[in-house]
Amino acid sequence: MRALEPTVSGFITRADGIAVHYEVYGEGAPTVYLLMPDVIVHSRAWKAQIPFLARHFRVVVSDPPGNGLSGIPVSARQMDDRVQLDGQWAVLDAVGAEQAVLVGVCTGAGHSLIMAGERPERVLGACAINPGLRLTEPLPHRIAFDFDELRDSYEGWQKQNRHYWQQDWRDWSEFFFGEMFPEPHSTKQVEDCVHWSMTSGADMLTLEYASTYAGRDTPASRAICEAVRCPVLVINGSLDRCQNPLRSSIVADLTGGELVTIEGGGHLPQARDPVKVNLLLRDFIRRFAVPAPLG
Amino acid sequence: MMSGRSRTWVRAQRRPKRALFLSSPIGLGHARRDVAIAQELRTIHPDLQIEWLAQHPVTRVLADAGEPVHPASAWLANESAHIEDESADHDLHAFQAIRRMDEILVNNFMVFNDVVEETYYDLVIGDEAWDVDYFLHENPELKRFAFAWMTDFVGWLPMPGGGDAEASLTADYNAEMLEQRARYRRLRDRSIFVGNPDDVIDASFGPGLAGIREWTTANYDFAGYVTGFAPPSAAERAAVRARLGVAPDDLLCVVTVGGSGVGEALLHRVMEAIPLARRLQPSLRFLVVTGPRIDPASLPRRRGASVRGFVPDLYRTLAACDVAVVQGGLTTCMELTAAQRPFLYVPLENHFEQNFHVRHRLGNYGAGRCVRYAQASDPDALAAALVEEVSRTVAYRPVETDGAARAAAMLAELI
Repeated sequence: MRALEPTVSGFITRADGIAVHYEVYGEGAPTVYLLMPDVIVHSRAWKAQIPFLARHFRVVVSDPPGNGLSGIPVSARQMDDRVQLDGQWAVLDAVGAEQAVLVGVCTGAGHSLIMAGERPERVLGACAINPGLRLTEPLPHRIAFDFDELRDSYEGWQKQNRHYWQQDWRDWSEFFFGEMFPEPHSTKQVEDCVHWSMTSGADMLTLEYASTYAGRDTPASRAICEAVRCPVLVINGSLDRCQNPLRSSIVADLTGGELVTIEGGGHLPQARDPVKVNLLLRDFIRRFAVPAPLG
Repeated sequence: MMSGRSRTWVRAQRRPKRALFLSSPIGLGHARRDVAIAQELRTIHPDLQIEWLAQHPVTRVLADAGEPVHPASAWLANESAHIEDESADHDLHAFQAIRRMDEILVNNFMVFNDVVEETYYDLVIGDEAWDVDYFLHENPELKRFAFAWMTDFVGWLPMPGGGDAEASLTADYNAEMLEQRARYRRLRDRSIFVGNPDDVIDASFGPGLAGIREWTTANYDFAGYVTGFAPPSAAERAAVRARLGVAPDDLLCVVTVGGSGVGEALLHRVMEAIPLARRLQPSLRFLVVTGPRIDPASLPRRRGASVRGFVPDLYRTLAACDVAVVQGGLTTCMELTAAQRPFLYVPLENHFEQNFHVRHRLGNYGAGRCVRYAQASDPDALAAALVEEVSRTVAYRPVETDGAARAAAMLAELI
């Protein structure tokens, strides 16, 4: 059972016809948009944040293309950051949020920074958890093996391979999320993510892999960060096996933001250390709360 | 007028003595004993203010007892509703249901944390408040009060149907708890086991881990069982029977499945067996108590049976019966044990606590007859078992009556 049901849920339709599913929780201020957490999982990845934040603020979540209740792309162009970002702006329009605090993890964290830079008047603050911008080389294991190579067998990170994804998506997902949660005793978090990944699957992730990333190289990624004018909070797991942890400190440096490192934490601290992340988010977002009118 | 937020800091010596009580909200099992413990605690510390962070159905009992419920309780997500959602027929995979309650537990911990941030408490008492115990160990800097943990079982146990996968999960959960306790002794100022050392199951936490009884004996204080009441006298028993309209020659069978909405299936099975049981023993009269979360109107009518919803102080009614049919929940079974009444209990399938921990404890008292749900689903078999038990003379090991006072004395030292 969910801890809290949405007050509103609906869809916007992107220019390419893909529907983006969104939900709204609570009625406070400001609006906090927990951006799509990545294509491989969907908005339930924020389940530990939504009910708590919704007691204080208005919370919006949306599903990525190809997962959750959003529509299913058929080409890589429909996974491009640009169209995803346009979809997320459309969600903010649909819920009537002129301004919002944006929170993202991994690719979504990059989205929060891109959106903050391109529409500064609409973004009060951005929180980037283990941001997925190419500010450094990737971690070695992420580029050690050819994504396209057909192998007789696949071990470890060799499973990050288009052929293996088609062959045994569940096994890849179990391996990948095992890596994403280096914290001991994370069985439930891994199970959840694997479960959510089964509704995207190999086809969607292959499209996403072939899409155009806004932060595709270091200059583009630095420019994204340098364009940000609002307050920024970066949360980094020191044992992140998805994004090079150095990227977090570079984001904080370039944006003048605050960096909170979770020593011993992995890629998805909002799931494994939900209390700490919730309190960090609350304290960050609270500063944008509208003061009570003078009595 | 003030604008914006205002705050007050109360100087330490001016603060009233306050305790926050959290009573496990899955069913009603903990509510009565916790009210009894709170009352004993007030006799030791008359100046202690006790507030409750509680949800339905516990709030039902607290309202009757006049206990103050903290307004933030309204923000709690309902654990009983989740458990009801997880159950099907007479089956509740308790371990997996609690795992899948993770988002509710985070939410409820955050509510708790907000409450203790805003109000000074000298003591927090968590009777199986899993969220508070777990997340305090994960976020030790959030502890700002004495914390007393209470439970009536220790150790997640796999059900045989779950195979190796479930055994490895329960072992992992047990290992995490053991690591938390080993690293942060200071998190719990007291660990109180509601029961006696021999009530702790003699099993292992998992491969390579300690024995549950050995570890629990070394790490807990034992309060004895807490019924929360003095056993009703013969005169009180007679008065209850008279009030219920039970004639002197009638035999009263009370049927109850506890305080959550899980167990409705068993109530239906008993309804099917009632005509057969009355054919075998025409003096039988049935009182079916659906509890606060099952609508009495949802059950069929039967000659010789009356159906009621929530019955306050159900232990008095249980003590007045000649036989009872109940689920395998600890509290109801122990109320019948304390009252020395014969009873059939039908554990929920796949509920590790009811099938292992409770059954083990009832065995210590020599109390009750365990009936599997498959047998209870055969109306002839259930009727026959019930008629066999009715008015059987029982001689259970007596249940201690000082458990609430002993638990309160342990808590009182922390204030």
